[in-house]
Amino acid sequence: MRDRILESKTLSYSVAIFVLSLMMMPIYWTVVTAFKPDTETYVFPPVYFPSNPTFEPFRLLFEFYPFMDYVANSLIVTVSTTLIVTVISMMAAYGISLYPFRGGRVMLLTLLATRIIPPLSLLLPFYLVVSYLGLVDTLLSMIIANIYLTYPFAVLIMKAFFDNFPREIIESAIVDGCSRTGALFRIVLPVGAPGIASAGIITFLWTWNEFVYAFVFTSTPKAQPVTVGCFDAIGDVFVHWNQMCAGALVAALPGIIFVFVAQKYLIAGLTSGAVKA
Amino acid sequence: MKRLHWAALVTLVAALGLAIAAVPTWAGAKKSYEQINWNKPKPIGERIGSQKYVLPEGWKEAVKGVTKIKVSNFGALEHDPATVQNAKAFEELTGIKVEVLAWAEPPIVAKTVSIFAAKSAAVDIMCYDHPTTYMQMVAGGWLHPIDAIWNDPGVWKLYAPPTKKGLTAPDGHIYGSIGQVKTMMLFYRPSVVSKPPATWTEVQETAKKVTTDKMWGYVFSAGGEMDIVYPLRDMIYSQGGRMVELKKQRIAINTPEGKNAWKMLTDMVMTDKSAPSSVLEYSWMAASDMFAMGKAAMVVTHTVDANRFQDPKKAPNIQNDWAVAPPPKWDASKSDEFHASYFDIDGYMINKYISDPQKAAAMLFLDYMRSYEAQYRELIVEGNEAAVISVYDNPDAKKIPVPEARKAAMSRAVLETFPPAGRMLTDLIKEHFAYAIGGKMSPAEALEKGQKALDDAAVPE
Amino acid sequence: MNASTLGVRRFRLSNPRYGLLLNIPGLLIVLLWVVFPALLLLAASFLRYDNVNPVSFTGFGNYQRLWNSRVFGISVERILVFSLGSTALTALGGLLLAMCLSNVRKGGGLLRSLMIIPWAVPAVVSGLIWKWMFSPDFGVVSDLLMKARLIAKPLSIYSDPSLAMWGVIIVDSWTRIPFMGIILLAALLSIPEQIHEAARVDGADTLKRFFYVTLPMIQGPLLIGLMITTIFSFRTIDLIIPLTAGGPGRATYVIGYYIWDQITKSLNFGLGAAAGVVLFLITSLITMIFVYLLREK
Repeated sequence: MRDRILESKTLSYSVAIFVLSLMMMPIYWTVVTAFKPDTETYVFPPVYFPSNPTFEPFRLLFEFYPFMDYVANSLIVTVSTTLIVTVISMMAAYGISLYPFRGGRVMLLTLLATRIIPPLSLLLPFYLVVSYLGLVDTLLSMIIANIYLTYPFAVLIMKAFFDNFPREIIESAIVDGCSRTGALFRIVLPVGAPGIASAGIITFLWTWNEFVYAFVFTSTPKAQPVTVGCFDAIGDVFVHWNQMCAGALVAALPGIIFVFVAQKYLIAGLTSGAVKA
Repeated sequence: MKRLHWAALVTLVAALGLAIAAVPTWAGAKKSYEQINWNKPKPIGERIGSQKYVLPEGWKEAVKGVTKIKVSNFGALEHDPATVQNAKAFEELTGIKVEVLAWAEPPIVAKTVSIFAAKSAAVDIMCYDHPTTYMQMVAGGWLHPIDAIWNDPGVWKLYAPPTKKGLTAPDGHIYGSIGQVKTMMLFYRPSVVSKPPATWTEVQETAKKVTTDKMWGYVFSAGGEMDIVYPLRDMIYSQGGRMVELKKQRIAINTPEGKNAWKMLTDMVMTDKSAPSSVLEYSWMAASDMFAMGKAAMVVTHTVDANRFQDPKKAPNIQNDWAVAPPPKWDASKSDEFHASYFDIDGYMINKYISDPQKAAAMLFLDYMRSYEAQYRELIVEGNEAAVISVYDNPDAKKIPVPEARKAAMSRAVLETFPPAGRMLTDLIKEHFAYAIGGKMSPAEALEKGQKALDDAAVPE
Repeated sequence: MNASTLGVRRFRLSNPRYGLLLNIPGLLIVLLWVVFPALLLLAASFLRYDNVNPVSFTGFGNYQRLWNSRVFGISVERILVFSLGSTALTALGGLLLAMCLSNVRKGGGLLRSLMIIPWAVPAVVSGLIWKWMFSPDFGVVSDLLMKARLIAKPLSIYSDPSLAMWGVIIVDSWTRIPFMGIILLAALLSIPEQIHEAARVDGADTLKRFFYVTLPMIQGPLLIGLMITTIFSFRTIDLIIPLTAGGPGRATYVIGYYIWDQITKSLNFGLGAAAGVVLFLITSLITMIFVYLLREK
């Protein structure tokens, strides 16, 4: 009897829905607050179902803060980093996985080791280098930093996928006269697209969500991304919570979109990259 | 062969040409900013101290080619209307655009330093909090000296007495100039507090009497960057004490005055229960927010907050029920000159890594921002104090709340500059105050441990 | 065994030179982006570089200062508490959700998506959102707890040190449960149904099955999840900066915050570098412990 209850789908659904409701509360609350007028924001007990939803916070957010600049910066940095990292990591993983060479093991171990080095530790040396090169407050500095932050994991994800890649297809293609690089483009890419997509999507998200490096490297809206923009919004004298929530939504948008649209790739990438420790 | 000869000749001529062009620079020709004659057409004091600002001679050539200067600002611009107007006026006067960057308060020092450490020219003029960060900035060696714009004995007479000493760095040069000045006064609710307290002991007594479960007797901030230093400092000054021993580069809070101040603050929260324990989370403006919302009977805060309390939209609950009194002296035994608060300068400093014409433009901006004209806007438009004391005698000054009391407060304000890494030191004070209020240790113990931490940290070999 | 087969076998995808060539850009990245900064970090940690005095060599001076530093000691203690709490809560939450989700089919995809969302949100934004939720004056957390009759007055994580630590632990695990959940879910789903059947046939009830069959089978992924969660929570500051800024009174002043302060407030780069090296050493130690534990599985 007890077992039937424990194993029942009803219990599973109930517990899952309860826990997830708790976990979704902050998201719900943020969405709701982002559309509230000031009068409904600064009240206690809080208003859970706004009666006058409005776009005011968004309008004010974009008016008082250069949020469009922040979004543009984020986009440029993220897209550039993703392209560069995806291409290079794909090449590297293709090489390591399918054409093992002597230093390959060492490379792999180094990559694993770099995942252990806390990014915060390397913040200082990166900052010194960026300063020395005169790249403070530029988008390039963030692209550089994010390449470092995302490359190791991207390679590991791709390698995991390439390891499971059916080699016979490549072999037969090469026997049929295709070059190795040709095989890469004509066979691996199309078939391995999910793996590449996983690495790309995760790289995109990590770069978009990055804060610490962006914060230290940038000081003006010419280079600040959305994450720094949101943080700046609360450092102010009087926090406009509804505007902040509006900004938070804008910052969290890519993440949420990818979760719903590309869930499979995300999960595949995370599990393979992690399990392949 | 012939081609080689020609190439060689052209290169030689070019090199010579460059060398000749470079000679003037080597020979130490006047830098752009040195071309400005600050004391002409009138001595600086008169030039900037009269109601209409007069540009110094030679400015036009000095700033040739400069189209824009970038200035950092504490926080969003909607709170600094005077800065915005002054920047615009400067633009109209000189044709140089001023881009004001709104930087959030907590990381402002970090951002400022990152520009300097990178030797970047990204920002021309940095705002800075004078009492706590001036020494650090000077020590870093990043600032462009601006003695030239202060080079007139008459100019110091325009400002409060501590200004000259305060702006002068240990090496004798001046690296900072005045942007906005503030001091604090006591705000109270006449409906609850019939007679404004004149001493801190009276504040404590009154707070105890008027606290209800809907309204605290007294509030202060202890949560933000260095907020606890404000009430602590004022209380110490009101006894005639000081916090900084500059020679030893030491901050002292366990002096007799410090002990009294610490005890009163912790008592108000823990024994009297006239101040909330959530002072630990109040940042900067939060204490005045509480007053504006009608949840506190008294608060000592910057005079500029009068604007907020006046605004029915921002402070609906206290309309026509708030008044201002001078900052308290410690107790009845002290004479009136101990009605003292601290003299806060939000200053401007110039990045030494920008080009010479930019420096000239920056010096011009600093020259303008401290002038009568600019400070007039600070007082009348925004409600900050006016650094130029004579602004208070302007007939328009009558429009603002309690001009005489503020003028007196400005003349009596105390200016101390903290040793380098001032923000880390104030962090230690904030930490130990939290220990005292949180009950982790007794207030007296927290004070002693705090002093020890301060002494341990302040070791510049 | 004729010539053509031999040819095919030799033409097998084994061309080390090609592999190496493809890896050159990646190698460059690792050298420039990781090895070089790491060496720089090490070098800087031996310098007196505090932006007040001229830069000079100081041997182990910075490390000594860290050893004697009261504040650094506090930050190490805080990160241990924080990491432990966050990892434990994450493991619990992740396991619970994974167990439930492995048992449902319809709508499972949607539930999974919801579970992932907290991971996809930028950490700093999570800190901001939760700061708003924890607001003592207008916050949802206080309100809900009061409605559930668990507390009488609004609580403030900003004036109570232990509440503050709980607060950051809750927020951190909120962002980590998705990852743990995904890994455990994949692990649970990969257990063949026959094994469960066999256990049932042998007379094991649900609880026994969970502890003696399920858990051991997912030990590997569980340990990996724990390791990654621990390591990542060790580095957290994105969350703490907006939420409590290390306070009140150093209650949430984790080691990452110490480094952050040295770089951005104290401007003592040498000390910050040394602290960064120490953080790396601690993280490596933890990793090695976990790797050892994993070896045996």
